[in-house]
Amino acid sequence: MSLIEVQTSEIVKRQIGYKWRAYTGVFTSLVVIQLLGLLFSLNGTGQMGSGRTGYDVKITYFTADIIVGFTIFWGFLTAFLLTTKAYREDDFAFVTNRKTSTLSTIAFLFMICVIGALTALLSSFALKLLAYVILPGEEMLLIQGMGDVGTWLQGIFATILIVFMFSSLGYLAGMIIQLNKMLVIVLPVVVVGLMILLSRGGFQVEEYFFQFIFEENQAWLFTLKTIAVTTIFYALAVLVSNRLEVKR
Amino acid sequence: MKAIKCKDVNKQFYRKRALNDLSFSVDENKIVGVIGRNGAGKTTLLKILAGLLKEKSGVIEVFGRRPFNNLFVSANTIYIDDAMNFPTALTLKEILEEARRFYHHWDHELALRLFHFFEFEPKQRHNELSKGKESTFNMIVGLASRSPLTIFDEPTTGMDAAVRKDFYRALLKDYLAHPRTILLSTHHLEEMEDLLEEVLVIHEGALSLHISMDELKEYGVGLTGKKDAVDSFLKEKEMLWKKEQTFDTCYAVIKNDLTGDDYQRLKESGVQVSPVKANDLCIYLTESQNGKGSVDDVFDRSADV
Repeated sequence: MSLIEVQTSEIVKRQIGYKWRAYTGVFTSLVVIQLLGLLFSLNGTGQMGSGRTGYDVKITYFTADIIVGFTIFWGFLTAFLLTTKAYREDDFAFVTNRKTSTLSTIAFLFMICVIGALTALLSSFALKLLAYVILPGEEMLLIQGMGDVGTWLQGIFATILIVFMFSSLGYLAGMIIQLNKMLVIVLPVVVVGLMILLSRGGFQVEEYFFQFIFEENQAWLFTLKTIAVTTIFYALAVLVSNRLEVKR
Repeated sequence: MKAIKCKDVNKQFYRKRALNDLSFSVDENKIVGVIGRNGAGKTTLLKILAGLLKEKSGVIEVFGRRPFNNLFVSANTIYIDDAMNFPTALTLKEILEEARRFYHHWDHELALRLFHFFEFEPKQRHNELSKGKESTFNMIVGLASRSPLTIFDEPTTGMDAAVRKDFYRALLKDYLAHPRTILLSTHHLEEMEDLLEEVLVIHEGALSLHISMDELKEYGVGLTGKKDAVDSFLKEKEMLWKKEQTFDTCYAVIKNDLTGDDYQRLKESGVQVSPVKANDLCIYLTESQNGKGSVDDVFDRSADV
């Protein structure tokens, strides 16, 4: 038998295809979680009311906020799950090393995050339609404030970045926990404990983090920040995963 | 070129030592059996060779490169065991398709023919298979991959006798048509005697013997006779194993380097000489050294009292 030299890029490509076909379960969970989000959103994501003698005005906003929130959570959880032993061993059923395995997983995560973000934003239309059909009475559906195509595209772009960023966080957390079972308990305790401690000292990490990411008005700065955070998390995850053996 | 080279390889799991200064090398295109008791370190060794585990110290080379985390070794090696993990979302047919994309030497024709011969359903899933069926399927993947280094770690777990026989035949036929290096760990040495070319006997993480199968078959001889007669003979020879029997007789296994003169002497002192089967020999060679005796002693406690 002649020996075969393979390129990293070739194997990564094959691994992405393999994961795309093998991990169809992630799409099932995406559908379920977005339907759930849709259900919760039917109550409206924001309300405003005013009344004068003779008439009442009640405005209910139907936006995809909850669905997007759920999708972010799904991105985190899916990335977390992909680091578990069963999934990592699936990788090693065929040709791979750690580099190709991690690279293909990250690429796969990016692909599903794009899909998740797209369906999440598109579901806002489904929500409005559903609300109009289901809600009783003489409501009027005002299709306003949806913005033009440019804004919408910006929204999609931002959602993709955020979902992908949270998936990197999930991936890192998952990898750290894979190092030692005890870390399942230790890691959350340390992280949450530190946050509480710091907030007592007047430094609120989570607030600072959310300010850093979500209150950024400049689109390019926002892009830069999320990509930087994502890269850092994934790089740390790669460092951790290089210490892991497969198949104990 | 050597397919596998190991020098002073050590591996430790927490406090337990799995491999202990293991050194050997295997030529290309050989079928080698890895024999040893449960927990002797066979699986650990094979996993290190496949690049799944990292050695603690020592030099290990597969086709001239260190296997751990190596894409080249991974592309040219396949590791098959009874705990193969395939994605549950894929059907058996799809798993074969995936394997085809990854392994350059993959023979899809062969895979499908074996698939039908062993009566698999294309729509079945790997986790729904019975133990023996699972092993059979893994074996198909291992054979069809035609990897230059093919590692089977106890491939026959759960297979019935008929399937085992088919497996040995399929392996031999495919090997003859497409020679490659094959490592097999097994507890069924007696069934594989005609298949294996070389044998690695591993005992407590160390290599205890690495010889060809033909040599192994003649490696030892058994002596049966009166205790005194056998004992006097054992003093000059290298004893491998000994068991006391009833009526003051004993059975001993020694290395087979008897001369004509020795035979004469044995005959005179009434000691019978018998061949030792390869399988039995391996059991004797891997007997625990700390003298815990046989399992009979566990039950025979009342005799001491």
